[in-house]
Amino acid sequence: MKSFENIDAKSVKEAVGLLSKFHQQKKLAAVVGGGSEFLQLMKDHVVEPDYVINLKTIPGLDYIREERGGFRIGALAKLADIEEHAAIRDKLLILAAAAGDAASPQIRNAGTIAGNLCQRPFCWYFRSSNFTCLRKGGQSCFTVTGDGRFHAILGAGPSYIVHPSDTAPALVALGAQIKIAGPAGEKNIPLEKFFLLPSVDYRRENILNPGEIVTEIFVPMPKAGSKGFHHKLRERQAWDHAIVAVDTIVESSGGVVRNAHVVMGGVAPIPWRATKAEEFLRGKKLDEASAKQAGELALEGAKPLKDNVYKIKLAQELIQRGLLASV
Amino acid sequence: MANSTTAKPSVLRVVGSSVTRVDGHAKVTGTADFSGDRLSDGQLVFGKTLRSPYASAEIVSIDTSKAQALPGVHAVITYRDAPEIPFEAGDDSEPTAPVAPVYLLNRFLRHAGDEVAAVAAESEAIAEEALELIQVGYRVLPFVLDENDALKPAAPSVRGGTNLAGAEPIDFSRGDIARGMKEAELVVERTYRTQSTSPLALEPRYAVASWQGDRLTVWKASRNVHGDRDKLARIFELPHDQVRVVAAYLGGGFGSKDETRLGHLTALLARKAGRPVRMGYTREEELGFGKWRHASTTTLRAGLKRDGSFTAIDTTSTLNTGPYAPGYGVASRLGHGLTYLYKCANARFVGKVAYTNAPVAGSYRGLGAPQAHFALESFADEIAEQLAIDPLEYRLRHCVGIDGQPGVRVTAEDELIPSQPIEGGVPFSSNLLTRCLEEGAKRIGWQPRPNGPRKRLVNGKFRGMGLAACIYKTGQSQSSSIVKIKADGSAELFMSIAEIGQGAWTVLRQIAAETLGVPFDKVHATFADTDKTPFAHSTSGSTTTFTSGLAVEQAAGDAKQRLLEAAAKILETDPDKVIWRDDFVAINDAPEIRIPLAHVMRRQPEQVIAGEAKLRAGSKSHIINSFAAHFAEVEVDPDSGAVCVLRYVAAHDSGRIVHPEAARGQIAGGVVQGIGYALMEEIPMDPDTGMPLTLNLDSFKIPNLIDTPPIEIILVEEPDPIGPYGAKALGEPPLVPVAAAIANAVNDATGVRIRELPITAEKVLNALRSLPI
Ligand SMILES: Cc1cc2nc3c(=O)[nH]c(=O)nc-3n(C[C@H](O)[C@H](O)[C@H](O)COP(=O)(O)OP(=O)(O)OC[C@H]3O[C@@H](n4cnc5c(N)ncnc54)[C@H](O)[C@@H]3O)c2cc1C
Repeated sequence: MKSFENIDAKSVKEAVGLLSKFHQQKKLAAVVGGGSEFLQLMKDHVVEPDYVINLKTIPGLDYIREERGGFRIGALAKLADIEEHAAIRDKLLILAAAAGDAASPQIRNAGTIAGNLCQRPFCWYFRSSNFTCLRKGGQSCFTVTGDGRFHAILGAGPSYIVHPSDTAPALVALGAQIKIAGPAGEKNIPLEKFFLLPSVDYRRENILNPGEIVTEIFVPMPKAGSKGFHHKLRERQAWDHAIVAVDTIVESSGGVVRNAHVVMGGVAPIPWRATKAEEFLRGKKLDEASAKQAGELALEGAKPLKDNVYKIKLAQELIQRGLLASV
Repeated sequence: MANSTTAKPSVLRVVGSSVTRVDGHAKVTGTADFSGDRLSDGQLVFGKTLRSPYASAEIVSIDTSKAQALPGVHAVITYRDAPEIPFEAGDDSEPTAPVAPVYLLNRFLRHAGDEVAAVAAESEAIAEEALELIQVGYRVLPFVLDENDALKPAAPSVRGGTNLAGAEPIDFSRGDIARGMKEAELVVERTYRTQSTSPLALEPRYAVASWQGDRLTVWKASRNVHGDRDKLARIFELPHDQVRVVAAYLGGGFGSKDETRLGHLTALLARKAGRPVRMGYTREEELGFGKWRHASTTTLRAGLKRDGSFTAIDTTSTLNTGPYAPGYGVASRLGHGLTYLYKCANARFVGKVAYTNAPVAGSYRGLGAPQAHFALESFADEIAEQLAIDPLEYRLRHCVGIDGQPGVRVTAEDELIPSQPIEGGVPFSSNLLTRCLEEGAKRIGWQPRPNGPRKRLVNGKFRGMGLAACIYKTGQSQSSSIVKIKADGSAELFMSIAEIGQGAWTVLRQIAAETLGVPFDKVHATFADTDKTPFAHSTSGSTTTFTSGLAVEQAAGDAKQRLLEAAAKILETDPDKVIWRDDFVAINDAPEIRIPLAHVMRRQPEQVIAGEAKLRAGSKSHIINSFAAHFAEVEVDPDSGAVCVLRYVAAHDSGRIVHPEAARGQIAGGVVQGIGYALMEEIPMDPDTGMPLTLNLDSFKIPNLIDTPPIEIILVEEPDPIGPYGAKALGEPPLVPVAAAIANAVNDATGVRIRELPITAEKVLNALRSLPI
């Protein structure tokens, strides 16, 4: 690991200020929350910052607050706290479940929600110091001719990573907002718009510009009559990334869908919203046939690599299962 | 074979009880010195290795000047510094057919991760920085990664000759395959494949080398201090007594840490740096380049009678050995498993060890036996299904019995029977496989299923049960032991055996205490230091309790006999009338006549009485093998294909169990390793570069606690007539049958037969999809 200087930030303003300052000085600086992912990136020489700005020293940024319209979750709230939060378990169960499915208990006790949303891909080429891949400034994405069994089938190219976050698809399904602080002040945007496709920029996974950090997630209260579903398919039962994850929120009455959100993890470089399926479901009665058709529509246009064709069927069937569980 | 000088007592005091492990306190309090813990050796500097990014390449230029000039760098070594003495990967196995010789470092690199250069510097960070300053020009060459591709005529040559190591396959047989096939009423043929995987011991290995003039001391993670010393002496052209190798505490071995490459490179760096050097493997290096289990392809062809009995079994395996150190021993063990578990007069094994440009494969717990048992025990279930016989019934009827295989003995009368024989006509010293099968079946609640897979659905998931039998050699190795009795009634034991977590340092002391007739805590010991402890082969091959146990028993018996003789002289009686208690000796029928041990010792050199033994263990009349039967209950998710092991029963015949707690630990550990092998462990290589892809524990998956079922252990304990106090092998067998038991359970649950490890969700799902409904 390259040596670096650690700076304990005392406020969001200070952190943003430091980031901007180092950026202007052409120094490499990065923020860390729990450090659970960042440390590994440094050890693997994926990022080698000159300065590491520690956000954990900012007081009061780890809140989880229930308000009338929804939940406010501070950037430093830990995954374990979200997983175990009684009101979240009561009202946003898919978020609690998704947070509880991430990584391992040790990592969830250290890892923050912002860190979870901003984590870098867990692609074995990207993480290996033996490969200089497209995302690290190299010439190509090695999965194209290499081994891409865990990689993207939707929305990919020229890079084929899948977004590794388990909380992201759940939060997108719930219609969450993300608050970003930067040199020009604060802004709120839909979380869905936070993530970037590689066709837009294959060097980063989200829209954060130098000097910007995530400060809060807001999750609106689901509408009455909504039912959620979260399921993550993986090879082993803990400490494993999703092969396919599905998060759905279905608002219905009398078995007829008013509004559906269908989001997949593990299949695309961003949490993948199946908008075609969502549109199809509106006004439909949910049964075997419509759920199956929604699953098929969700995977329409999938372009698997040679090693990950199996993900299509898995995702289709999991969506079907999720929708049927939502009525 | 050992001849005990003392009669074995009928009631055992120490052997058979779970005494407190002698390494336990140091380990749990953090005072045990592992190989990476030597950080303060005075002038110590730190080594790091530069590894090849290509699977096959020639170094056309290498410039180390910038690295050398970096402040804090003490030495850089490249192939130009390597002694001109051929050095295979440092294993026991050397090439037997003409191939390009290899040295400690080479101009030609033959696998991704092959060593290019090494640096010694004031800190690991500086050494790492220096590695990046070494400028290497590579000429990239064609390569081959797969064992079957490697044997095709057009394949690039890995070692400058044929890729079939030894030029000829290993080929051994008994009886006559053609005749057996003629007698068959049906012939079944199947092919099975197994993957590369890593032993992944908890502790990454380190070595510390220091030179005092022409004397070299290497302190390392070693299971074979004498083997290390021999090879260091050879490469550095030193007399043996100028080299000292000491083994640290080992944080697990599982087959790793029997190589000498790291120790040699460290010694070479230390010589050039003029400073002691410490060098080790990172987790990535352990996973990628710490020697893998051989990937394999096995084809089984059986001639059978309608009742399922074998008339012939014809087997061929191809093993992926990487570019160095051909794994003949691994192939032979594969062959033993395939040809000896079922009664069959006509059996043949053809083993092809293929050189490839995959990272080096070496020993990993069980060598070829897990590969063999996955193939054979899956095959047996397939046969049983075809013949409508219950899988348990099939094993009970057709597995080999105590009388051994039909046929004629080939080994000369006055020679030891091999521990992995092919010949028939030799009985086993003990064989409780039937009891393992019966007791295990009872424990798990086996239901006969003569009609093949049941495909039961429980709570929306498939549920099934499978079993597998296991045969495994009890190693016949060489060992020696010195036991010294001291004036205070204590004893000290000297042996070159490594404590790799298996409990050897405890078990050997138990045997000494039992034989001497002293309390366990009166036996002290010095282990694995070539300056102090006598020769032994490596601590490997499930042989330590057996071979070294016999050596201790014999040495302790010898020491005791000498003591009694010396005492008898003073007491003016016969040795068999003398008794030894604590720190005195006395006459048996006149216990009031006693003299202190110190009095006896006064006349002895160094005031001790020493016994010695040096032996090659084995039997001239019997095969000594261990047996096991494993049972798994699994659940398969019909939506994802994911397999979850719900329950596991392991029944073992390892003769007398010397330390029951340690034995249970061995078995549980082996089962967990086997579950990883069966379901998730795999090291794929990038097809374009040959670089292993799962060099981190987030991508190289091993079972978590949550993936590990309750494991019920049955020790079917009956003393073997030959082993020390009746003990046989236990170290490796627990991992051997696991993958087959799970594959068979998956088959019962789903009807799907997976013939290629690991049994991933993807494979099960694809197979489920292609099944007729
Ligand atoms: C072995 C392993 C397995 C894992 N498996 C899973 C899994 O299955 N599912 C899953 O969802 N996750 C998984 N993770 C990721 C894990 O959830 C994250 O490590 C954790 O959530 C990150 O939180 P952190 O606070 O420790 O982030 P850090 O490690 O501190 O940071 C992670 C990244 O986010 C950036 N960052 C952190 N905070 C902010 C902020 N406020 N604003 C802007 N950028 C920020 C950092 O610069 C860094 O790039 C795994 C991680 C590991 C190491």
